[in-house]
Amino acid sequence: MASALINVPARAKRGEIIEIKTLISHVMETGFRRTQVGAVIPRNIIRRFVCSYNGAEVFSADLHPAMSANPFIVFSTIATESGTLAFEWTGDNGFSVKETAAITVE
Amino acid sequence: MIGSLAVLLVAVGVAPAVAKSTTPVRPAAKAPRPAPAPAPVPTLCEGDYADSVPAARASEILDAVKDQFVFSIRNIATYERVYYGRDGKLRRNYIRSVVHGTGFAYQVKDGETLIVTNEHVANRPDVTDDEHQVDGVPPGSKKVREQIKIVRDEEDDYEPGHVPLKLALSDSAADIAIVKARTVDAWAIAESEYVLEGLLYPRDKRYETAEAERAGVHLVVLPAPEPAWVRGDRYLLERAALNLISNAIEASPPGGQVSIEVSRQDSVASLKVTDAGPGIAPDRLPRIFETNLQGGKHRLLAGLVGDDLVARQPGADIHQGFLDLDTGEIRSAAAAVVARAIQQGALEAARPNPSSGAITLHFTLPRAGRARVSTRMRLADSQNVVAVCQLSDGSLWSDSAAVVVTLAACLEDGI
Amino acid sequence: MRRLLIALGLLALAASAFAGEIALSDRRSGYELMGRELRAMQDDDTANPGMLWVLEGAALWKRPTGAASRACVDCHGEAAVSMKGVAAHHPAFDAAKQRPVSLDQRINNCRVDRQQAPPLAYESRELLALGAYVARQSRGLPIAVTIDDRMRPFLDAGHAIYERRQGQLNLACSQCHDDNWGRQLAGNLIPQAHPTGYPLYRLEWQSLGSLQRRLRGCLTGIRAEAYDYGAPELVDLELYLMWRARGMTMDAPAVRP
Repeated sequence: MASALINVPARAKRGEIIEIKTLISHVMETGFRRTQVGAVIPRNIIRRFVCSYNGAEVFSADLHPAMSANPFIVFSTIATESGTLAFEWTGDNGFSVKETAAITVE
Repeated sequence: MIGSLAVLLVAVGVAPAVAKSTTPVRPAAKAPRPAPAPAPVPTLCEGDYADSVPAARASEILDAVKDQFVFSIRNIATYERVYYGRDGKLRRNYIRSVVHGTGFAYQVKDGETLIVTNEHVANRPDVTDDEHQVDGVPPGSKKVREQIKIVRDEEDDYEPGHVPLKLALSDSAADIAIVKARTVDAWAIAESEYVLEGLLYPRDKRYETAEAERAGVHLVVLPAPEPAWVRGDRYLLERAALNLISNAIEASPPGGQVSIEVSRQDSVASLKVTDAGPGIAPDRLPRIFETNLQGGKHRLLAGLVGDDLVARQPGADIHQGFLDLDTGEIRSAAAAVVARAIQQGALEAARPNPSSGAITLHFTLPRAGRARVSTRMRLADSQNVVAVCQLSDGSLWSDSAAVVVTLAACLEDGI
Repeated sequence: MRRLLIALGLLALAASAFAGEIALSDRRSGYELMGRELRAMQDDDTANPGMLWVLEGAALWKRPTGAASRACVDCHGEAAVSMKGVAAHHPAFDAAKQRPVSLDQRINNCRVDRQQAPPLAYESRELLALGAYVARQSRGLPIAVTIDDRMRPFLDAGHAIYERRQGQLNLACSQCHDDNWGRQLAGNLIPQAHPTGYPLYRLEWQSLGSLQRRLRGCLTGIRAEAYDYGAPELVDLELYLMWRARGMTMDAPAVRP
């Protein structure tokens, strides 16, 4: 099941600012909606997103129910060295997805 | 905070303990203030009677600790004025009078909460006349309703709910009163979920490590294998933890070690601070939670006093207490913030709509490159979307955009 | 060649048979009625949430399933080659069922007959993923449903549903989508209702959905009893809508507000 769609440039020059796009599949149920009979649909959201570059955190976000379903986050970082960008999403009900992307820096 | 504070009464034996003046409170959104040089905290009352402390000195002491308190007391009294209108009919007019006072301390005892606050907050006149005047209320009005709340400060809009109060003691000359409230649960100051470790790792850890370095004490942090979630007021929790850590650093000799351990066991989550100091004399240990204890180097946080050693009440809500690590002989003392462990998300699941945050972004400097993020959010109604940013130098920036939201023409109900 | 000529002749007849329609040159996809940001969202494959389903569909395409333990790829090979244009000419006539079937139904037929697997539920994640993946292969191609004498009665039935007033609000599809497209209904722009982008990610649904979900939503909106998923009425209506949009470019999976 494809959970996440990540777009990282495969190559970059050292010191260049690269843009990273992440899109993950998640229903992001707010916890405020109700069913037809009035019962609350329990909250089920991604709460935290962390991006690490060769192990060091370069960007993170704490998400709340207002974020849309299938959260889409675009951020930038400086291409410092070749290596791996690791992305981790954690949320309610033990939700945890980890993805990686490799980048070559000249 | 409120104007002039007078001398505190000792007569009832409910003298508030004094917080350390060296630990400035650090509210979450503002830039951290650098810790001032540690000053020795004067003992508040030496004698049996408050009169033994000269007024000037008492004010000095009280002024010193004034900004240590997080909360103030808000009293909203509704006065009813009955009068004859122009048409000769009887009319009633309701006027609300809001007054603020400072909450100096509170103690939970026998299922009751005792709060030390200003007398002018607790003792609103039942009927206004020439002797008992109330701002904005014409004479001849009768008090029909009174509500007391704990608020953060005078501008606080947060409505934790009012609590019916009973006056236990008051002194108008000293402007001090002690009021009693029936249940403790009503004090929902600002409930939020908090990972106990969050108290150890604020966005910058400069404060604790700087103080430890100054004292030549080695600070060791042992986080729990899994985050320990607790429910409580974040500011009070932070202050309690900071105070414990500062106490421990102060109590430890140079070269000593202060260790901070976060752990969770069943329904109890705790943050334990152990120091290498002389500890508390065994005969004083059972009396730790009496508020007139001035013992040793371990002072209690004002306003946050438990009524039993936490180890004996594992299910209790926030308490600051002392745990006896070594049974029998006390070589080192440990202080802990212990709270009822909760399931992460339990409180936010019950949080009302709208919640204040949509997304919080953390940029790692200088690797971020650009302070620009694109994302998507859902809005239920037309509103202003506000972005607030704290820059690395501590300053703040904000901007907002008005969004018009239209509802869908057709919903899928019943499908 | 002769059949082609007959088909073309019938098409020409069909063109003149229905009056009150939008002129062929005036037809606009919902894409053109959207704002700039939504169009950018649809065009960017790295930002289009529908692509999450397409990627899932690509994985499902290769997964063996059913008693026959066959994957789609075993018979159809690479979808980019074999599925090119398929979504653009569905609903198509199914000889076994002697009626047109939608793409979802075709996928389920394949599952039951060839893979010996149970059919996927309508609007289930897997069916949407496969539908999105197949439809993605037709991106950029013109819609071209074939109408011959077998299909004609179903096209007429679909057209009748389109023109018929239904529901408590007593509205026909044509009243909004032919007569009032471009105007606002409770703050929302009324599109011409061309299914060029289905299955699409609808912001209102916060999820991918099929054309049938949209049709049922509209029927509920006019307070009519919505036909069940897979009902022949919905397929006929789908056929009519695809025919009405003949020649327009497919852009699945689209994004719509």
